[in-house]
Amino acid sequence: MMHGPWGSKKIDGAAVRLEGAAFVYPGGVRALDGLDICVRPGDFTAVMGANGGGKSTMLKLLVGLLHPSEGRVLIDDIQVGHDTFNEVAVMVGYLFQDPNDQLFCPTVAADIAYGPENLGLREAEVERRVEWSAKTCGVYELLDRPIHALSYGQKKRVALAGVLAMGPRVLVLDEPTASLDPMAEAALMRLLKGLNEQGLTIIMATHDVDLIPLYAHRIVLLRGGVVAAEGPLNDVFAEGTHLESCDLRLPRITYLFDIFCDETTRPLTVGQARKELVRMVERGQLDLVPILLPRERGGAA
Amino acid sequence: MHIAEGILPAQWAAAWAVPAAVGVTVGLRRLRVRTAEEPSVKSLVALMGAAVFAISLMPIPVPVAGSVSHPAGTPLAAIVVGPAASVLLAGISLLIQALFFAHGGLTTLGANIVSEGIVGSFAGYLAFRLSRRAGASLFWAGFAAGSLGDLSVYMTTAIELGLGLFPLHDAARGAGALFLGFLPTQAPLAVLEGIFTGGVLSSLAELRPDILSGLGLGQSRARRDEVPRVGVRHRLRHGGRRLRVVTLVAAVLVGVILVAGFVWALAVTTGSWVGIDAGVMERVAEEQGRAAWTPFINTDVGDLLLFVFFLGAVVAGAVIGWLVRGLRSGGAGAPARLPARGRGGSPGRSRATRAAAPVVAIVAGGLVLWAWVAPGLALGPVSGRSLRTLGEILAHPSRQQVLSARGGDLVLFVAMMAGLLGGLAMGWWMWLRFAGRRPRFRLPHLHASHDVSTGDRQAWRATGLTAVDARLKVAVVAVMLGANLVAGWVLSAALLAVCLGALTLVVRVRWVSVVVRMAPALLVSAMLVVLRGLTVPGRPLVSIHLPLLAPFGVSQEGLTAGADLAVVVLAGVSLLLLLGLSTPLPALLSALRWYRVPILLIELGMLMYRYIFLFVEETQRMRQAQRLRGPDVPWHRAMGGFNSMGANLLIRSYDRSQRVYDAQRLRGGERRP
Repeated sequence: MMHGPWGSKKIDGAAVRLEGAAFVYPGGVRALDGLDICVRPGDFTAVMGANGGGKSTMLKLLVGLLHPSEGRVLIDDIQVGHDTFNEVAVMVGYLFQDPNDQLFCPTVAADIAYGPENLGLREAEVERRVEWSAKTCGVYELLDRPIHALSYGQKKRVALAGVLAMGPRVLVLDEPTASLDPMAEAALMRLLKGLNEQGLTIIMATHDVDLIPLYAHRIVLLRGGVVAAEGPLNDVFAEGTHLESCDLRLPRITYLFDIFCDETTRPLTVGQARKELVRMVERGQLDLVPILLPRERGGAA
Repeated sequence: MHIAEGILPAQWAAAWAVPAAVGVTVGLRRLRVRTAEEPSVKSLVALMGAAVFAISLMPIPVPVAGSVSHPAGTPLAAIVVGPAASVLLAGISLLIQALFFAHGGLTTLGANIVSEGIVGSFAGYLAFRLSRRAGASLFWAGFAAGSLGDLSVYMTTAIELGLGLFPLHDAARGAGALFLGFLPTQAPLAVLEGIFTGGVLSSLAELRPDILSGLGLGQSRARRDEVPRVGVRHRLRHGGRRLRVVTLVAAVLVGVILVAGFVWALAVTTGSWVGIDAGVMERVAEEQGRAAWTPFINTDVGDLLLFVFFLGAVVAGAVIGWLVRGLRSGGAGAPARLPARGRGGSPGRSRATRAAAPVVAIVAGGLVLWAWVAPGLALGPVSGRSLRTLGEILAHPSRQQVLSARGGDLVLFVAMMAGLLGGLAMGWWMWLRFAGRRPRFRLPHLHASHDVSTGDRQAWRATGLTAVDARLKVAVVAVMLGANLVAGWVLSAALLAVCLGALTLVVRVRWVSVVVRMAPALLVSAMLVVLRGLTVPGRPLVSIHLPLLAPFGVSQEGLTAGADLAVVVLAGVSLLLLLGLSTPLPALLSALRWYRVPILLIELGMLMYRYIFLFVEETQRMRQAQRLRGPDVPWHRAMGGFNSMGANLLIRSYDRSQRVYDAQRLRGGERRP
C-alpha cells in the first residue's frame, strides 16, 4: 500500500474551477473561449479533443504557465495568477508530454530531489520524499543513474516521481501515455488510479478513447477551444456524435456492440462488454447467426 | 585550435588563466544580471551551449585540405546569447572537451578560453554588429562574424603557441610561422564557418523570425525589406546595389585579413632567426670540423624555378588524374546515383561544375603545395632568401647552373615526378569527391559524437577509482598537472607510466581505446619533437636535404628538448584521461562546487551535460535523415544541409529552453538561491 509523503494514506485533493476562461495567443489565435469547468476534489477527469483542440492550453492555464485573457482559474479558492504562481506550483503538479523537457538534472536522484529542495525542506524530509516517490513510480533502482541512460518509459516515470515528490493535491498530465508501450501504459494508468483512490485529483489530456473509460470518472470534451460536452463518463460517451464531432470515436468494443445489439446497451470497456454478453446469453437475447452470416439470412428469406 | 595539455610552460599557463578567469567572471556577472531581469535566460544559455557543442561535433569537409574539421562555434554563440555569455559557454565546453576527449587540457584551459572564448566571441560579435550597422543582411553579417571570428581564434592560438614555445625575442617569428602553417587549412575553414554562421542565421530568420526578435537580433532591416530569403544566390540576384557593395566589403575585409596575416607572417619569418641556421648551426658544425655540404638545391641559384616546374607537374597531374578517373567510370558524367534534385538535369554534376573542376583542381593544387612549402619556408633556415618573381628567376644567370649543378637534373626530374604523381592522386581523389562519390575512408574525427557517449558510459562504470571521492581526485590531479609542468621530464615520465597503468589495470580501459583517445596528443608530441629538433640550436645530428629547402639540421639538444616536452604533454593528457574516465561529470562538477566555484557556472555545466547527449543524438538523427534522402551529397550541397541542421538545432534548443524553464519554475526553481 502506498503511503503519501505526509505519512497517511489519504491525499487531500483540491478542487479546480475555470470560470469563463478564455485564452488568446500572441498571434491572435483564440485557443480557448469561455470555459466553465468544475472539477471536484478527488475526481479523475479526462480532457479530450482533437489535436489543436485546446487541451494543452487549458492544462497550462491550470498551473499558471499561461494566464487567461478573460475569466479566471481557481484551485480550491486560490486564483491562479502571477502572485500565486509558487503557491499553485506546490498544489498542482504538472507532467509535461515530453519527459526530456522535464528532466533537467544530470541524475535521477538529483532530479526527483529538485522540487523538495526548493521547498526548503529538511534534508531527511527531502530524502524521505525522494524514496517514497521513487518507490511509488518504480524507479527506486534507477536513482543513481544518469538521465540520458534511461529509456523513454523510465524517463516518463522519473518525471512523474519528480512531480509527486512536490506533494501535489492536483495532478495535471499532458498526454501521459503517448509513445508508451502497452505494458508501460497500463502500469502508468494503474499508478494514477491508485493515487486517485487515495484522494488525489487527476486531470489528464488524452485522445485514447479505448483507455479512458477504464479509469476516468468525468470527461471534458473540447472542440475548437470551447466545451463540446462535459459530464460523467457514461453520459458523454452515450452519444457517439459528441465524440465524432471532436474528431474522436467510440471505443472499439462499443462499435462491436453497436453492430449486433440495439443502441440501448453500450459497454465502454472489455469488462463491461463481458458482463453484458453474459447477461444477454442468460436471457437468450443473443443470436449471432443473423449478424455474422447476413447473406445466408438474406438467402433464406 | 585546442592547445593540448602540457604544451604551455607553467608561467604561460598561469598568465593566460588570468584573462580567462576575468572573462569568465565578467560573463558570470553579466549572466547573473540578465537572469535577474529575465530568469529564462539561464536555461537558454545552457541549451544553446549544448547545441553549439553538438554543432562543433558536425564534421565540415574542407575540400582543400582533403579532410574535415568543425566550426569553432563561438561567433555564432556570441551572436545568439551575447559575447559575455558565449565566453562562459566556451569555458564549459572546453572543460567538458578536455575531460571527455582529452581534447585541450586543464592547464591550457586559460589559453584556450582566451582564444576560442574571448577573442572568438568578441571578434565575431563585433564583426556582426558592425556589418549589421553598415547595412549588411543577416547572412553577410553572419558570414563576416563567422569567418573573421574563426581567423582571429587561430591567430590568437598562434600567438599563444609562439609565446609559449619560442624564446621571447623570437616569439613573433614563431607565431608568424605557426599562423602561416594554420592558414592553408584554416582559410577555407574560416570561409566555411562564415557560410555556416550566416546560413544558420538566415535560415533562422526564415523559419522562426520570432526567435531572432526574441534574442534581440532586431529585424530593423528586415522590417524595411522583408525577411531575408535563404541562400546567397538569391540575395546576389535580387539584392540590388547595396547588397553588392556589402558583399564586396565583406569579401575585401576577409581578403585584407588573410593577406595582412600572410604578409605579417612572412615579414616576421624572413627576419634573422637567432639561434639556428647558418648563423649558428653551420658555425657550430664548422667548429666541430663538419662543414655543411653544398646544398643540392640552393635558393640563391634559383630553386623557385624548381618550384614552378613542380607546380606545373602537379597541375598537369591533377588534370590527368581527373580525366583518367572520369574515363574509367565510362563517360564524363558522375557515377549513377539518385536522380538529381531541382533543376532536372542529368544525374551528376552540372556542366558548369564540370567546367569549373579543372580550375578548382589548379587552385587546390597550388594551395596544397603552399601548405607544404609555407611552413617549410617559415621554419626552415632562410638565410637571406626571399621569394623572387618568375621574371627574375628566368633572367637569372644561374638558371643554367641549377640544371648543370651536381645532381641538378636528377633533382629536377624527381621533383617533377613527385609533383606529377601527387597531382594524379589529387585529381583522382577530386574526381571522386566532386563528381559525386565520396572516398571510402572515414576519418576517426567523425566518431567524435560516439566518443561522448562511450566516454560517459566508461565514467559511470564502477571501478576501483570511481569510488574515490571526486574532490580528492580533483585536488590530486590539479597538483599533479602543476607538478608535471614544473618538475621536469623524470616526474612526467613516471606520471605517464602510472596513469597508463591505472587506466588499463584499475579503470580497465582497453589499450586500443587509450591509444585512440591519446591520438591527438601523440600527434602533437611528434610535432613538438620535430619542431624543437629543428629550432633548438645545438650539435647537429643529421643534416637534411629536401627539395625546395636549403639543408637544415636536427640538433641533439633540440630532439632531447622536444622529447622532454612530448613526455610532459602525454603525461598531462593521460592524467586528464584518468580523471575523466573514472569520474562522471556530475560528480566532478559537484566537487568543483565544494571548491567554491560559482553555483551559476555549475548549474550551467549540469544543464549542458544533461542536454549534450540529447542534442548529439538529435544531430545524428538529422544527419541520418539527410543522408537517407540523398547519400553522398557533395560538400557544397552538404553545406546547405549543415546550415539548416544548425538552424534546426538552435530552434529546438530555443524551444526546449523555454519548456525547461517552465518545468524548473513549476518545481520551485525560482525560489532557488
